[in-house]
Amino acid sequence: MSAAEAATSTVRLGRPTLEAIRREAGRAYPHEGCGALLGPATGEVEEALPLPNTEEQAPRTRFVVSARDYIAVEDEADARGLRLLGFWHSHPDHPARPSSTDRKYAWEGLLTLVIAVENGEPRDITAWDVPGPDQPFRQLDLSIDPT
Amino acid sequence: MPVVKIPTPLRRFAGNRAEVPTSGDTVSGLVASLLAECPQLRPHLLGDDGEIRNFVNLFVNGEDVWALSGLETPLGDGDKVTIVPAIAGGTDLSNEEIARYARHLIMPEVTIEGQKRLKESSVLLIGAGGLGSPASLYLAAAGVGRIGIVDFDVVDESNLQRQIVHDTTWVGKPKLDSAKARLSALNPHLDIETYPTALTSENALVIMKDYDVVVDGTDNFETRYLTNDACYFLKKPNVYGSIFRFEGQASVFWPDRGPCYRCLYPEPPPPGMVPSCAEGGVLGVLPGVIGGIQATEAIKILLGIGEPLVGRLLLYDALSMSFEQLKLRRSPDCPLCSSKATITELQDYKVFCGIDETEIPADLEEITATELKQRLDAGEDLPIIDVREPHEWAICRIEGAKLVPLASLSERLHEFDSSRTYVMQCRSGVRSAKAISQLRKAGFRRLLNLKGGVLAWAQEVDPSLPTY
Repeated sequence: MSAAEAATSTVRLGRPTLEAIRREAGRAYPHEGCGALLGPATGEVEEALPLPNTEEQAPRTRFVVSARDYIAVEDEADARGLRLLGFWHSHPDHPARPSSTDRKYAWEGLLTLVIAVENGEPRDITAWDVPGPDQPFRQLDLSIDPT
Repeated sequence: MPVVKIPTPLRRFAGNRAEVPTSGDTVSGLVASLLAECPQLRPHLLGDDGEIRNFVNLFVNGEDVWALSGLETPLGDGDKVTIVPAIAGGTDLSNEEIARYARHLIMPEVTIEGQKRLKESSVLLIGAGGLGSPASLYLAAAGVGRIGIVDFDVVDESNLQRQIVHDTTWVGKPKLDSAKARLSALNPHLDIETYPTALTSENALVIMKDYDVVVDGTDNFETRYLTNDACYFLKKPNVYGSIFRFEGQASVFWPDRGPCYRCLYPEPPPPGMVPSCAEGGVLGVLPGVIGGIQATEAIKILLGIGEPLVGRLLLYDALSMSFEQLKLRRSPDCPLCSSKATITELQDYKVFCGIDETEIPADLEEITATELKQRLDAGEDLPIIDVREPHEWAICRIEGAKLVPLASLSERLHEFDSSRTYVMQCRSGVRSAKAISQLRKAGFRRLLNLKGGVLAWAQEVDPSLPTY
């Protein structure tokens, strides 16, 4: 990844990919839903793969992607010549802003998409990344492509 | 030579490589050789203490190293080690929630962590009546994230004296709709789930299994035993409460930690022996006290604080304003939770609402209120005997009826004439059926039961009568 790529502050998302995230987030309600974001290059999300939220105690306010699911999805991205760009997760009845818990687990170099779900209905979606160690989330522009 | 797979976010610290060949005959040796090769990885893999960070998992050929021999797991040629970053997150309390629960958050026994736990928790209320009303209101106000309610009744005017989750505008409508509207208005941050059904041996386990705590607010023994048994099979704490007239009881039956309801009362009481609130009355504020205790116990259990009311039966007497505690022990002969248990699955009881069907003659002859009115108007000789209590008689009565309370019936048989046909009547038709049973034993044969009692009379014949 070049420095220019790392500084990209716009995330492009196809309409069908957005719809897939909205559908899965609504389906997971009242639990948090989550999934992986794959694409050819930084900031270009081509595919959103739903993953099971494996949090058992508190699935309504927590999400966990199992290590096995992470390995599988990264292997798939590598095999298809795509990049694992990051992950999306939903906030049931909560704003689409990353929480302090989200920050604790965030990795530099992985994109975080957060979608609010209100009473089972998907609402706002926002994109974030962590520009450096110990830095807060930085909001990215989200551009929805019609195709 | 083992190979290490670098996760996407760390590849830029490994020369943009997905895989790095390393040396090392154990996992810890491999990590050391990887860091020698790619020193920029160090802060991402190791914490300040030099140990592998909590947020990093290591897998060898698809197995978690901690399920193998940890960092000492031996490695050989061709083994593949995968570095897996932990991917997780979640929501915190919103600013509105923090403002709402401020008085909880400042208590060291609750704090923001405890409040989050309440939000993650779930309580199932059996019944949206006297006990379920205050219990559900306080649980909702306290922020218990998911509240389920089982009830199939509609709001009746006579409920409003104590069932404070409902109000006058909901009379005639389902209690669940009323309760859901009220609780959602009180706290919009919750899920209120409703089950418009009676609890049965068929559905009890399915409904209860997804809840952390069950609050028993039932008014009948059938459901109480069913709730107790289902909680035992599911190992869920059962917060018990019961009320009658001026007295209430509460306890927590927590499987494997203390006794269950059957340790106290192995089998339901003889049918009809224990009157229900509909028959015996209840002080309106009494369920407020007991339901409040049940909500308190549920919240303590969810937070894991204090001493739960396990192995203790709390007795409350409103008239003397006194609380008493009885020690309860697990019964070594309990038919449900002891080593001598005989109950291995849920069962239904014939007893319902304290009514003993065996006391009611199978060949009971009934008359409807409308028919009775017609026959009286036609001049037929049909004396009506009201077997209710004098204080019930004072509320409403059918004109011309004679009061003979059920308890005094056996002493007043001489007042009956076996050549006449009597219409026996009470509030709803249950006690009058028992009276017919007694009179038949004494040799009387010409007896009709007024179907639905004075309530039916008020509905079909004289709407001006007050009912209770």
